Amino acid sequence: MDEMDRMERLICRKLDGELTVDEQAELDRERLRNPELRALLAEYEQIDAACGDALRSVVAASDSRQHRQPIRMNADGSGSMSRSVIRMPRLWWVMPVAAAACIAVFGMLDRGATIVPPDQSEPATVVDGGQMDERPVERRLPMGRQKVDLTNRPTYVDSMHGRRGERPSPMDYGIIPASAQVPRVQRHRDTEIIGVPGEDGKVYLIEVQRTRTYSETEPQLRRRLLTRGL
Amino acid sequence: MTLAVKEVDPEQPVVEAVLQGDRYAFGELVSRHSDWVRAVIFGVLGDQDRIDDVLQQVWTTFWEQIDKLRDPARWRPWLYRLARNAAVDAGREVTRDRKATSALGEQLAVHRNGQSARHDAGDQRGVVLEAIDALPDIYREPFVLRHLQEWSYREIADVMDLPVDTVETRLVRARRQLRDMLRDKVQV
Repeated sequence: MDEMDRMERLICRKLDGELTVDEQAELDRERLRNPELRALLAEYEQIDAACGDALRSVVAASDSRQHRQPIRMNADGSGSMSRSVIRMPRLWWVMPVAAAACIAVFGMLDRGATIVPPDQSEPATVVDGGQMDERPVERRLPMGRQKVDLTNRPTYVDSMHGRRGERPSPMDYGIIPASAQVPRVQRHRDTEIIGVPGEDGKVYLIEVQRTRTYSETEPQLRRRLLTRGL
Repeated sequence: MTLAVKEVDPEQPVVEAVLQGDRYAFGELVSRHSDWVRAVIFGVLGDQDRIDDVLQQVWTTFWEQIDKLRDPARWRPWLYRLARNAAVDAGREVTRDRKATSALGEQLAVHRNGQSARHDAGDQRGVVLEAIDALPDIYREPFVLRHLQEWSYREIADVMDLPVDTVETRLVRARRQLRDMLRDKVQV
């Protein structure tokens, strides 16, 4: 490759925005020294600008027509285009059903549902603070609230604490304060600084924050704090 | 210490949704990428009047055949090939039609000559477009992509599935030929 070919290549790289700093410096040096190169650069710039202008005008004209004739697929979303693939069924109805189920469950919880354990004539009730309410069932129920009888049903005990058919333990009904049993979500944040040497000789500091989330019950939390002497 | 940077294609989830048959994702892909597909079609076909028809056909084929795409990460080169092939086929159809209807072909030739005359009379844009149209395909396609999309050599190489050096060489040669054709005809 002779010198002029190399300069021609550099000119093209310049027009395409691909010149490195060194190449830019080299081209600038040569341009100052060589009037022929200056003329060549001007000529290429002129042609490039004209080509860009012409091409953009063509595609812009076509683009305006394209807006009048959108892709059919996008326009009506109908089955005008079929594809022989197995598609996932559209489960649009799941969201409302799930939302209704959530509302129903939270509604029950919000009413301070009375839980009647199997094989007990006097059901225990979980009230605020996890205390047992010894009053008769009828007196415990506020006006308009309904008793939820879980006798002979798979209760939340089945899924969360025990096996089906197992006699429920007092823990299942909140005899032990709920605060001691319900795991608390703990977050622990660490900050680390990492130094990365850059190509320019500088060292860039990157601050990395890591947040770990875990859950632990109150006795576990106490034990952890005690082992740390806190 | 070295840092490994993994390039993530932001369109990957969209393409995978399209693979699952998601029409909305497909619509999104169409709206984001029609510009460069149009540039590819024009680069091959050189006929602005047919760009929209071919574009429609390209996206239809994309939707119908995307399950044949083996590597979803390489959806861009695949789309490029679809666009290119569709444009080449459309070009063949035009040639065939012109041969079949000679009378119409003559009229078109007269029309084209008229256009050329107007170009000679000072329509610089037409002259430039004819020069671009006269470039060999392998030079015209990257040149059009570069000018319409302002893509880097790397981006053009990725889509055309070529080495970066090859793209650069083709662009240099395209400019050299255009310079020969347009010398003393272009003024900015």
